Amino acid sequence: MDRKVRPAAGLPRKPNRKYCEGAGTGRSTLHWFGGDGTEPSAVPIKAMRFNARVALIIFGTTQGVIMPLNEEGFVARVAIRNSVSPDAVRTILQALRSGGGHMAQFSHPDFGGMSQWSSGTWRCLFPPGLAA
Amino acid sequence: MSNEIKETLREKLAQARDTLDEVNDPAARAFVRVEIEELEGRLLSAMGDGPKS
Repeated sequence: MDRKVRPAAGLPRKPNRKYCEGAGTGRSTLHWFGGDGTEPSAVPIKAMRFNARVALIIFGTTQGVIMPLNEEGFVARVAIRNSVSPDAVRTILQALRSGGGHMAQFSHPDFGGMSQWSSGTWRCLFPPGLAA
Repeated sequence: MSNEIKETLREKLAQARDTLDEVNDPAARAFVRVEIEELEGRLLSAMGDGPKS
């Protein structure tokens, strides 16, 4: 790992102390771009540039490229927005997957029991008041 | 309907639209589209109930 690399254009030549492990102890380990000419920062920077080039090819621009939201993040966000439990959101999501995104049939206490949805229509099949 | 409720609905609608841009899963996108339709409907009815000048 003694390979010498040039600092990337626009980046400071000296390491930022914030990113040095053990800063101030006299035995700091650099893991940010190396101001002392050592690795390993070149690989992530190259990877970022590669990703930007791929995005440019696929989307035509690097602007507006959106980091996809993971499922747990999505579930939490929707649950908070609609004041329902995350479990209720997961139930609907699973039902929607089963219906290919066009229809869903599910049962959850947060929605008052058995419900189904199809192309813009929510219908509660068995409202709690009618349940025997 | 109070302006506070309308503002809340607008915020939720904006958040839902942002979420739609961030998900790739077809089921999740269908979910958010329904949510957006629902919020748009509620916001429109809230605007309709507002004070007439």
